[in-house]
Amino acid sequence: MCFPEKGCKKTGTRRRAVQENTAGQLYTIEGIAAGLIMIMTAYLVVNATSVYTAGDTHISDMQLEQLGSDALNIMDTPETMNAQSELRMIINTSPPDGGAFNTIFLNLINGKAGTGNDHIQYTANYTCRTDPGDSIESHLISYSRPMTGGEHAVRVTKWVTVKPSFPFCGTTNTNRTVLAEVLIWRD
Amino acid sequence: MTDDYGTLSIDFLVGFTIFLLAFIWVISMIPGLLIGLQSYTIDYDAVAYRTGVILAEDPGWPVSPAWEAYGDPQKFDVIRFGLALSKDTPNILSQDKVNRFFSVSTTDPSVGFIYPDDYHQRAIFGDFPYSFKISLSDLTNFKVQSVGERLPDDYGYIRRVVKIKEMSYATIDNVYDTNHSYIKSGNGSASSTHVFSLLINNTKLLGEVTDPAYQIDPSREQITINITELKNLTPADVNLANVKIYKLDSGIYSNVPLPASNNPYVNGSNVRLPSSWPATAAKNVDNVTLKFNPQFIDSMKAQNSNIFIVLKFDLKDSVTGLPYSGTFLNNTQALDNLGVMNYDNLDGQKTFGNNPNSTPFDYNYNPDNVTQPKLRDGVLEVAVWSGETGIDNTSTSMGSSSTLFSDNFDAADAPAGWTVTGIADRFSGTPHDGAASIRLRDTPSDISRTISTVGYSGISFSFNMGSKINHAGRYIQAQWSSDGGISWNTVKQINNGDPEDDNDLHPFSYSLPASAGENANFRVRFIINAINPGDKAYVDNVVVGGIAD
Repeated sequence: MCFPEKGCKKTGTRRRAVQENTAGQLYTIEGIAAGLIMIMTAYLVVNATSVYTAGDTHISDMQLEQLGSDALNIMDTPETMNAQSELRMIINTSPPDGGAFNTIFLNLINGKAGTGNDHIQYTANYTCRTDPGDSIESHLISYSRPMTGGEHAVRVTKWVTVKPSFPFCGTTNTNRTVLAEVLIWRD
Repeated sequence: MTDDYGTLSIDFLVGFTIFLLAFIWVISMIPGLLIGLQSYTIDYDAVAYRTGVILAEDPGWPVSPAWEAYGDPQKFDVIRFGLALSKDTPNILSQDKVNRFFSVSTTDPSVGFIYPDDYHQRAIFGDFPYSFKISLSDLTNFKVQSVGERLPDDYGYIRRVVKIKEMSYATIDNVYDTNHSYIKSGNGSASSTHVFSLLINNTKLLGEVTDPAYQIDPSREQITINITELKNLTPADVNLANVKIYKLDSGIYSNVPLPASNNPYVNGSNVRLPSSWPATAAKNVDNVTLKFNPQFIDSMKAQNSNIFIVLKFDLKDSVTGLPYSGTFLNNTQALDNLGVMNYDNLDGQKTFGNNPNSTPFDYNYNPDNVTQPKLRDGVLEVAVWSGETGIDNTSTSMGSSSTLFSDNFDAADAPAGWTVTGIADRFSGTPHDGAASIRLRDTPSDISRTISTVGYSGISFSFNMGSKINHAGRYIQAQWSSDGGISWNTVKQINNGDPEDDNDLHPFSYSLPASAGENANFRVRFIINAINPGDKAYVDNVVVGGIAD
């Protein structure tokens, strides 16, 4: 510092050199730029990705299950008050009337309001507990075509009460409740 | 000099903060990479499923009076469409609701509900302007009804299998008419006035059958009564002078005015008698059809009551126009409170209460009296998407079904043209329809026939069949084959002890799979596995139909 008693002259306003340190502003700009780049990249990546997971198949599975469940319920609903349901009559014959099941079930699940039919296939059986013996038996009712193992099938079931007049699921002809089970898939 | 090298600048802090926030946000998006983002198609399927459930499983709201009874002035009280008969009978649809739902107009509310606004508010819901198409296919009658627009390439969809409940009806034909024709309608003197009454016993109807799918409930579905062949009973002109309604509730008879909206139909007209009737009698009547709307019955609040429908016929000489005294359909002694024959001042208690001369026709669950409600198969489809595609004005029929083959076995040489095994003879005893049926009996027997379906699809197979089988394990089957008889598909089997094993004919109708059409080897067969004398089966009115390609 210049003090006049020491001989230096004050020749004018002496300005102290001011250095502006703008290095810190780069951090802000860099931060914003980096943030924008990351966000844009993530958005592009996510939008381009469409991973078909098990969660996406549940819609078509649900539609098929609903259709199969409706068809079995309708087949187990008698046409008139004192009639037997078609499903009961089919199971209540020895052997089960697969031809009738094939005709009726395919007509129900493949029928559409517009032109043309759907292409849904099935395989159906019923399961019962033997009397006497108390073991589980499964009997084929019918199928539209054999399953090859590659089909993505859904399972629908219906409990059906039968009143057989012949030895049924064992050696007795007592009334029985069996589980009708149908696997259905779309070609 | 101040040394600020160790101090983080504010700029650095701001920039680093922005970087961290963006980094955290990107990291939080990583789990989303594992989810297929197809929200719009899932949404359409979900909306279609919801609408399908509402239509197939819900009766709509309000229930009483039912929404289908609401005309345009009251339609804002309709909260929700639903086609189910009741909430206890999902997938069983009411014919009345179906008819009302598919009465559509874009401009005229007197024709039906307005498309699309009325449907969007009451079936689709939500604020998003979805486009939709709702269709119902009657698999038995080959009829399709739809409301909505043309389907685009991609849409949300659900299909439901349903039953449609047919309405019950009674046909009073010439046989009944003849057996209930009397010379008088009153107290012994010859009369040109004849009174015929019918009874709807709601207590019995609602008490004997409680399942809505098979119940006859006049307050929920229309009932129809046809009185036919009246001219066969008399050479005179028959005039329908009046119809009165009486309600018996807690022992008290009361007259219920018949509104013009429930006036009868006569002579096959599809228009009810005008409001000027009965001031001006309906003349020269051969048949009368009574159709009572459920809303009218419901308004009577007669769930625990009897309803008497009392018709007055006047006979006039066809030449002179003077009253003609003779026998005519007549089952009621219409008395006034003094016990004198007087239809115009009819007293319910005197007429129906313990009066042996009044025997109303009972609309009940006796199949000899009333054709019972029957369920037929149908398919309900709902499609939902966004964007307009134009209203679908295609025909509401899948195409007329032509009769490819029919045989009523009335011909003297029946069953000529059929291949016969065992015993199958033309039978004019009971049961038969027309002149004769075919009877299979006593030993394993069948009749079969090849019917070419080339040029046709949508094959239907209808017939009347019944049996009287006295031995367990014996049955009759109706079958069809797509390979000329190598393998058979059974559509109907009647076993010993089944309801149809009653020595009577019962109608059956089936739509067959695609393999039955376009098939020169299509074959039908009726077969009985009887081995004992006395086991019999009957077949009549065989019809094979198809839709020409």
